[in-house]
Amino acid sequence: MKQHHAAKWLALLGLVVMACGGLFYAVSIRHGDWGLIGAGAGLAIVLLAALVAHEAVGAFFAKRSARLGLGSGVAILAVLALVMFLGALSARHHVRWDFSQGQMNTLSPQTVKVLKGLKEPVKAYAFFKDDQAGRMQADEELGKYSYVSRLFTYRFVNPDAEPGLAKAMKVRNYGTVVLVGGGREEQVQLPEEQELTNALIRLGKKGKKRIYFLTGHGEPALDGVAKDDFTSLRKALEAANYEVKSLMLVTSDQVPPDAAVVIMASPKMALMSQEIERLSAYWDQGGAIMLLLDPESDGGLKTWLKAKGVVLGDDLVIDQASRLAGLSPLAPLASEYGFHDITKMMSGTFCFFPQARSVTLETNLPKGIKGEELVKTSPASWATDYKGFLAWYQAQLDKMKQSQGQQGAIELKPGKDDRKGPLSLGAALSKQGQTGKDQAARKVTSRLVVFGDADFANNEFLELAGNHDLALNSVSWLAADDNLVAIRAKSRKNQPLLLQPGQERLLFWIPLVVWPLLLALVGVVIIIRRRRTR
Amino acid sequence: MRAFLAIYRREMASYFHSPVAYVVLVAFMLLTGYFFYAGVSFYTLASLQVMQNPMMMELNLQDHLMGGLISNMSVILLFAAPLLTMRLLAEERKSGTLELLLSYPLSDVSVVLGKFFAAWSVLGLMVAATWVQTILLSFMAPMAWLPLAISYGGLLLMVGAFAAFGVWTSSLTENQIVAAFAGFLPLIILWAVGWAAPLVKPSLGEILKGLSLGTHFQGFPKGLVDTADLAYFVLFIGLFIFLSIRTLEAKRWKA
Repeated sequence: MKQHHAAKWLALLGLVVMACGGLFYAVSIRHGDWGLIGAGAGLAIVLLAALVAHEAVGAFFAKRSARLGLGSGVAILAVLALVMFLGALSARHHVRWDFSQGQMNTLSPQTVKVLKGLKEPVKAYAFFKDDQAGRMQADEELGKYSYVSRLFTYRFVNPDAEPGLAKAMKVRNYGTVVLVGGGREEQVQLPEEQELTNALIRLGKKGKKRIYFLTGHGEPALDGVAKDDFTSLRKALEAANYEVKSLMLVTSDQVPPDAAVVIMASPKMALMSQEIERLSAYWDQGGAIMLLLDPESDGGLKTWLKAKGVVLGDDLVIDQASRLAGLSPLAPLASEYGFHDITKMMSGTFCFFPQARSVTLETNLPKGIKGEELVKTSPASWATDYKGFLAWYQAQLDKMKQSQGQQGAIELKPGKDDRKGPLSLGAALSKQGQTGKDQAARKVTSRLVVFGDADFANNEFLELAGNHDLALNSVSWLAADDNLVAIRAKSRKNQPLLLQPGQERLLFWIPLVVWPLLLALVGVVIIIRRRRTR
Repeated sequence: MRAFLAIYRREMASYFHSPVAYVVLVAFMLLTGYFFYAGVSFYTLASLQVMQNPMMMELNLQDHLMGGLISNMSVILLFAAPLLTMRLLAEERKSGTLELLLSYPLSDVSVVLGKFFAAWSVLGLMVAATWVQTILLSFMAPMAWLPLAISYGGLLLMVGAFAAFGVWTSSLTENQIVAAFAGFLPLIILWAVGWAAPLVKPSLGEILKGLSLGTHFQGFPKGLVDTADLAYFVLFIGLFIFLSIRTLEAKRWKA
């Protein structure tokens, strides 16, 4: 009997160990195997207990009630299994009907078409912290995609728990979704329908778009390690699925037709007139150009830009606000963005532009050209004449040397001829045009982005604040990768509700006082009447 | 069928001839009435802000007010349901009337179904009583009736699941308090188990979401009807009614 008693406790212990092991296996991401081992050990203890008390176990099953109980148990297990099977089946093969206003839970026809056309499986990795805002919306959005196509699957990754995966997929921000399919990857920063669908389309496209960097005018290298080289930018572009090449325009008779974007970054010398002609011809036929022009050289493009309505200032922008951010006042800070595809996601971030010139759009742009100023400095900034400033600054430095450190730091103040901020440091233009003649004619869009600074995208500053996003967004807009399909964000009916004071009182008194009282009264009456009749 | 109706009527009578139903109903109306008034006040405040700054966001009555209220109701009902169901079989067991009941020529199926539908009816009545608020509001604001009806439909399924589970826990014990607690706890866990999905392995997360009452309910307030959710609730109700019948049967052969 004592033995049986001990066996009971042993069995209980075994069950507890099993449960704990199972629970640990379920919850632990990395050490789940220990949980399995624990559960196995628990099972072994239970079996051991049964062995120890085998007589009692046998006697129990010999009873009639035990046999009936066993039959009932088997029936219960069978029904449980059936319910689980049906549940799993209904989860795998289900149909949805969306009765919401504005069909909020349904994807647009464009997206459905893209999803139905998937040939290879696509897996989305959503990099979110477990408790991050927006995770639920992302889950819902991705859920809609996987509902439409079985080939689309997704899973959430906590980048803190799986830093290796985040690193391998070059994820820089929380909230990034990486689509993987056909051996390629596409990143989406904002998991909304338009972004996800465009990424899906890009993923399905074979071949990469080519980006050419102009060389031959003293531009910084694309593979150098110096601070002002553009190696980081090249790598970032390659990570975004572009092919980056350099282009010596002076020795080729035209810009290669496969150029998706041509970038000229920080030329030290002016382009030759033939080069400008070739560049101009490329642009007119629907080309896309990005110019990053530091104050010291405009690459000889000032007149060409002027004809497009872009005024390149011969100035230097100084911003005292940058000092608060620990940077030199010669690196103006921009936090005001224009209303443009490039900058629409940038609000709330800063960009820094070390040694920048102003880039302003004329109020009346030439016919057919649409433009928008992209970034603006703070009101505490000003633009001063570049050459004059250099001379003055050198003089100040010399003075400091002569005084042998007696004089403190050089103080910067706006002069009376200086232009006051906010100042524009970059602009984007587009022009609808036509190329070819007669039947071969097709509509094209020429695009141009000009920044009064190249340093913001160089090795030293690219990863600072919002600079990376600004540079990459600009290129993807130029390469027309931003909007392969335009899907209007679903909007619900906006129903603001304003109540009269009387109405508000009604909404308080009726549901909260009158109605409960009425129900209570009915109850009291019924109960009293019933007691009386008894 | 007659046996079922007899049990159903008897249970309904015992609900409404005792204070239980009224106390629960009035308490439920007070709570939902409070949430309703607070929700509307908050919504009107947000409306003011939205009207000053239209870029801010869109406010939608179904998504930002009614859906939330209905989700709140489902949580309150989760606590109310075991209070209504704890009595059903536990009391009969304790007072010995269960043996009497089982000695009548009634099938276990009609006993369980009669009790289940009575509990479901009372819970459904509680849900229906909140329409006073909705109809009142409809005079002041345009309501989207279809998504609203879907939400209420989901809520009815949900309380059906609560009732079925409560009948089963009540069949297990003769102590009403135990029955109520055995009703709350697993329901709360089943309600919230989907929240744990992000914390565990993806494959297990899917299973947790699949088991969760909350996950299967959340589509309804958005106006989304999914056959998987419908199947879940039907299977849930069916399973616990089956288990209750088995427990009653066990009572026969154990005796």
